[in-house]
Amino acid sequence: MSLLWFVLGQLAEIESMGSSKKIITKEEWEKKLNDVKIRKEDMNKLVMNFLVTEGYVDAAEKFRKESGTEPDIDLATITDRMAVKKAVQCGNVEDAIEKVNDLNPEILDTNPQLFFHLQQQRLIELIRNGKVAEALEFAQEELAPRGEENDILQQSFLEELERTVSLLAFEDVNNCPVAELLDISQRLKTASEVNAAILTSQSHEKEILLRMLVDTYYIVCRYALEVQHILECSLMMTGKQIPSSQVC
Amino acid sequence: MAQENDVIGLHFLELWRSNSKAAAAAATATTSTSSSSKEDAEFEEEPTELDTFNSSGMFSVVLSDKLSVQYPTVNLHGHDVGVVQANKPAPLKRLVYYFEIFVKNAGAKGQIAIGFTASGFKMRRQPGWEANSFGYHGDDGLLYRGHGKGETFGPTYTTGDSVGGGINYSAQEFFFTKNGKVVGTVAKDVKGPLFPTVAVHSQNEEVTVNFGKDPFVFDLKAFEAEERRKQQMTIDKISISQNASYEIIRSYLQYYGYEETLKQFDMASRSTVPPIALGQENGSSDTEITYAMNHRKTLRQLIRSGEIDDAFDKLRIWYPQIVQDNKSAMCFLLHCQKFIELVRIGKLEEAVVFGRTEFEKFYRLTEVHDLVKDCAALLAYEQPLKSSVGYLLEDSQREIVADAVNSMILSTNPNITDARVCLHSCLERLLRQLTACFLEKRSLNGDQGEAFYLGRLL
Repeated sequence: MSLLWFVLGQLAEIESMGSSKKIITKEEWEKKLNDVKIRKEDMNKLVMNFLVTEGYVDAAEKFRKESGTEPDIDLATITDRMAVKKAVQCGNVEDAIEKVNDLNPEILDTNPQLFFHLQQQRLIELIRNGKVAEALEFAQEELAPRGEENDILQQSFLEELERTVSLLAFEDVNNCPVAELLDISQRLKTASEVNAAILTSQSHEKEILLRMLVDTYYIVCRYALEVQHILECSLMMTGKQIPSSQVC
Repeated sequence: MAQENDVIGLHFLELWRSNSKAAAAAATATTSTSSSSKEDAEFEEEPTELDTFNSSGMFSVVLSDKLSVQYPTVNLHGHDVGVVQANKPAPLKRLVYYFEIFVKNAGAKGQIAIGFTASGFKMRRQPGWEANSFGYHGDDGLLYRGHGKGETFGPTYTTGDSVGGGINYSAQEFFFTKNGKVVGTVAKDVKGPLFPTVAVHSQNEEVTVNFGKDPFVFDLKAFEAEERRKQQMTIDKISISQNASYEIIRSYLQYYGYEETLKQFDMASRSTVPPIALGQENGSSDTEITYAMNHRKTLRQLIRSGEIDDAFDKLRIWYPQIVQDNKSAMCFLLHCQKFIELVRIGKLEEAVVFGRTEFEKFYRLTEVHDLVKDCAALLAYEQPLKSSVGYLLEDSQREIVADAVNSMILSTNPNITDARVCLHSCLERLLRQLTACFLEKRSLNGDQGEAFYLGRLL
């Protein structure tokens, strides 16, 4: 997630702080505002960071020309990263995994949690497409061993695996307790996790900050999309159609 | 210069002026650490060595490097502690302050302490034994905070251990570490300046102190990152509309006239997953900032490439009212920029001629004397870029002129009543509010902790 998001979050937090204990006149406040020095250069960098993190390659290129701001990441790498993100967002997880490995095979090696989530997404897509036998085979042969490999994350992996497989147990998948796994927000969550991992592997200094910022993405994205989902559901005529298939 | 309508022009002159001051300050700075004008406000002194003036020199001996302390004699009672404070109190305006000691020799009884004390501390007692002091003692591993009786806190420590003491302003806590790991925290309920303090009490004890000159055993940066992440967690719980950032970026691009970028941005955001519905939430000001975007884009391009004459021509055709008054701040900015461009390409004679004819009228106006002087000074140097007025040749100067023209054109919109609305983009207003709020919040907190500075984030 971009630095702009971080900035907005800070502002929202202050706004939510409630009553203030100090009274400041409008003139005093105007003066304080005027005393703040914001450099145009810094604002341009913030905008560039947003464009780059969100993956707007063409816009970033144009912005570089129009404003003279240099991106802190090589723009050529954005298209690759966006291809991976898009693949996950559309449910083509195998394609995404292949692309990630082409970019940098170390990413998945050093990121067991990410790899698990990608495999989990693959399982979800198999279930979504009604390929029950394949799904079970995949779960048993590919996913369960992952859970056993990694001690620290084992517990949460196996729990997640069980949740995912339980989708098969329900007739009405849209209304079952784990229905959210089929929702597009799950894909987006995985997509942004991949996005962050690639970004981290490509940039050097800003790792911690970006990771920090991406942590917020899950929660905020989910909230934003839950609202959107509720709106979409209320507009849909039938309850059987799964929303995510419409988007890609 | 016409004052009433020149709000915009004057604003940008002030911007130029502050750049000039910053450049002058940087040029005369003798210290190697250069800081931006923002961080100057944040500059605080910090401890660098032990204070030999104030220490209980009767009991302990501070070595000549002022970073080591010994207890040579035999201690007899509880009022002959060898206590030393740092030469300065811990700085406030940061997230965390930290320092470390290394126990070279635990001596007879290992009665070493590390902690923080106020300025009036009785310098013969262990930190923590008196009010307004805190100490983590090595012989019993207890924490003392103002009473004779300590509380269970952490492990004991002895020869060969590195022990650290820190203040976490965000959590308003003290924390202590042993050999790189945090052993405990305690609430900080004392206000006012606090001195990092070290104490030795039994024969042959010796301790060295590190105020940051050498790397710490404890990973302070990771600790700070974790603190910031915790702060971030509270922010996570607030849901922000996903569209908010898109709207702000969009408005920024429109405001400054980055037309090409805007086109690409709009195209791309239409095909995102899920699609972003823009322009629906904040309908009102859309038309105002897209006013004359094409003209503004063209003029920005011309100014950024140094083609001031072309810029003038275009302005005379499109917005004559802006360049009508030859003595306005806007004209001044443009004329100076033309002068600067001539110097940049080495046409010094032409620059001098231009200067003589154009600057003459500005010389009579005392308000801009300093800026005219800066421009003229460019001629004095063979390598002007390296001089104190070298900033004029940088992109940032062109940017000021380009932004000034941008704001002026926006103000010609008949729907705008107050020109000041054209001075800042929405993002800039937001950042100002944020910075000011943070500063205010911090000052309510006794001026402790970090403020928000965009420069640091970047």
